[in-house]
Amino acid sequence: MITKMKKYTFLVFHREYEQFLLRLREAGVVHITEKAEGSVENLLLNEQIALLQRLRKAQAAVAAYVPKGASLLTAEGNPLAEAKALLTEFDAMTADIMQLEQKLAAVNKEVQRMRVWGVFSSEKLEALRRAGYNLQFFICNASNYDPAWETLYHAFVVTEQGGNVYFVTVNRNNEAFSLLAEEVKLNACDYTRLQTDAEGIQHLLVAKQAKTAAWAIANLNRLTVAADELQRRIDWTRVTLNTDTVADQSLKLLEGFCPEEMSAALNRQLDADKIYYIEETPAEEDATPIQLKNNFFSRLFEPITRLYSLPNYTEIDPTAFFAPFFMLFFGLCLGDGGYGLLVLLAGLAVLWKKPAWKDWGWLAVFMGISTMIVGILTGMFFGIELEKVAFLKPVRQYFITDSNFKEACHGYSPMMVFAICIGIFQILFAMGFKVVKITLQKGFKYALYDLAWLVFLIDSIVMMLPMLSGNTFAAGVQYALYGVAGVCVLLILFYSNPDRKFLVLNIGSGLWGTYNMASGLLGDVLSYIRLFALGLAGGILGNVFNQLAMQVGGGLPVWIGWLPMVLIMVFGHGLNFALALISSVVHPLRLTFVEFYKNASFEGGGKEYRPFRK
Amino acid sequence: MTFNLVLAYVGVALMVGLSGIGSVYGLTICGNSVVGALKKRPEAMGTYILLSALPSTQGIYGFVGYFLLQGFLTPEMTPLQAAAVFGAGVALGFVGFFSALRQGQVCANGVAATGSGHNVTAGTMIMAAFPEFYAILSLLVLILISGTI
Repeated sequence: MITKMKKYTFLVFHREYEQFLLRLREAGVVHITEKAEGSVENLLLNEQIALLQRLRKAQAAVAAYVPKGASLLTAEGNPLAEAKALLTEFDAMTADIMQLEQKLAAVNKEVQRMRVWGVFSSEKLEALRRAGYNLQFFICNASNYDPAWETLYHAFVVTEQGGNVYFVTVNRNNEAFSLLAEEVKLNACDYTRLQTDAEGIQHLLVAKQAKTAAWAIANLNRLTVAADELQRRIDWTRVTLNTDTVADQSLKLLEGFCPEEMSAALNRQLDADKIYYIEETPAEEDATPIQLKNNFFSRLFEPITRLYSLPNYTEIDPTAFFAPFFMLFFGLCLGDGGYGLLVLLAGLAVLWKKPAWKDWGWLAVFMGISTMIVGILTGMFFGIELEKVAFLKPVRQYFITDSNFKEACHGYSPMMVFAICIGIFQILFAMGFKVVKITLQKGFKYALYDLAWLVFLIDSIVMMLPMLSGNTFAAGVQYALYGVAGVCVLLILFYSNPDRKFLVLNIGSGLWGTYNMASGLLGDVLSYIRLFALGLAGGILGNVFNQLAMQVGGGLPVWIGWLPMVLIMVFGHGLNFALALISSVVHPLRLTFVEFYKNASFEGGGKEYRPFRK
Repeated sequence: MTFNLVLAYVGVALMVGLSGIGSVYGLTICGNSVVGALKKRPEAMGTYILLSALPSTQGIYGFVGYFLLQGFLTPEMTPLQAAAVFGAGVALGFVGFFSALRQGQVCANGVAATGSGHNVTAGTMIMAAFPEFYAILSLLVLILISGTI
């Protein structure tokens, strides 16, 4: 449901304007109408927004340094005045840490490179060089190493590792020679000294991190306070920018919206403050903000509505209308009672451990229950086919499986038939939603065309029903159905645009609409087959992992056989569950956003209600 | 008898294989785009997943196709049934392949635009549903064929 709004126009004397805004902010219920050019043309506002972005980013980065369980120091003074200095300080500290981390990584890499050359004294190597001995270090593949080099170039093998030979040649003077080997430049220090360097850097890094953690404890709240204060200032600047100055700059004109249920209290405050205002019902062309107000169950699905777009003010909020379908579709896609139990447990764990995420927890609880019901009805629990379980023999005929119901479904899988049927139902429901929506927006005569389509489709389905059982309707009923269909066809062909003077001229658009409906409906209905396919695929994969576990584990002695069995089951079901979970969210979303929204003629484009407040 | 089975299984292989490969390509194209978009707007991950998963449907249609036809894959199947399975399989396989490929490109553009800060999720989903329609038509043909043989 969309909260009803009242549009306000305030006219305030310029000297009282600041006081008025303070009082309006205190009331905290008015959403200020933004002018298109308002926010982009002000340099100060742009600077404030840029600083706020930096502060918000820094908040998250600083929070990462706060040790678990540490109590933060309270913010004192004027943190906003010091915000830039705080950011610079933090940036410098993180830059130092990053530099040390890079240095440590480089030294550790050098330790690994130099380890093969062992411990040596660089002073002695230098002394040999000064004495005229030229030492060169090489690496080559073991198969390329030629023992003759030991005579020709006085080669000494230092070590052999990983199929490579590490060797050194000792020659007097700088006699040039080439070997089928890669020459290596040694570090001035051996690996033990490099290790000592690395330990030193590590200590320094730990000290820097500890210092940053202490800084984070002292300043995180200050950054938060600064960001919140800046946000308030930005809101203030936005409001002033969206104010018009009229009557030779002596009056300020401001527009806003307030929820109808709060307008009485606002009016009392405005009257007490002697503010001139006009309160009116928003017109269709007004950019009325949207505040969704749903019951407990539907509210859980509001993030899905927001993911696509909020409805505009003239529309009906679709959340409550797609929510039950979404829950059912999730259950059909996941389709395994055991997986449903996991989702349910995860939801309960969130409710217990993370009260702040309670809406997500409840959503998981509902999804889990839906999946459990679907999974048990279709006879699947962690990939186990329940109809084959011995102790469930007395109830096996009730599971909705191919073996029980395929014949009744004329050779088609009962779940496939159900998926198509629920698809048809949702599409018809969406068309009904559209009829109500157009009636509310424009009037009933504009909804007649869509109502005709809805009735025609239901009428056609009713006419086809007896065919499934091989019966026929009584002649009277049959003629009545034909009559209804005929009336609908006339409306479809000649009433697509009620504003036309001669309705006969509508035939072109009527035929075009018929073509679109025929081709669109077919694709839309068949698209629901994914509900069946995903549920089936998840169930079969789970079953395959069970069989694999039994085969591998069953072929081994009992005392060790359980181990691969458990490993395969945990890995297999874990993988299957994770993949099925993603599909079970994405595909119902698609059915909602494409098939349901399209047939419901959802427009969207609404802007969230954000009141001007402290 | 053996030839009938071989012909039918070739059809099944093309149907499941090509539609699956199409989905693999479509998903990969989207996945690559998501990696780029994540650098710009990591907070829009939910939208990226939503758009990127769309080309997975064609692979599912291939799987459904096999499920609908598996009852015919017996040594007793007639040449007509074998030809029908082969034809339906080839149709769904090829249409599914190209449909997923093209849908992936549409979705990848949507992901890139979302990453650049544009709100194009709804438009992309609708545009992406168009190439999929023809894969649905192929599946419908397969369902109709499976009902007549």
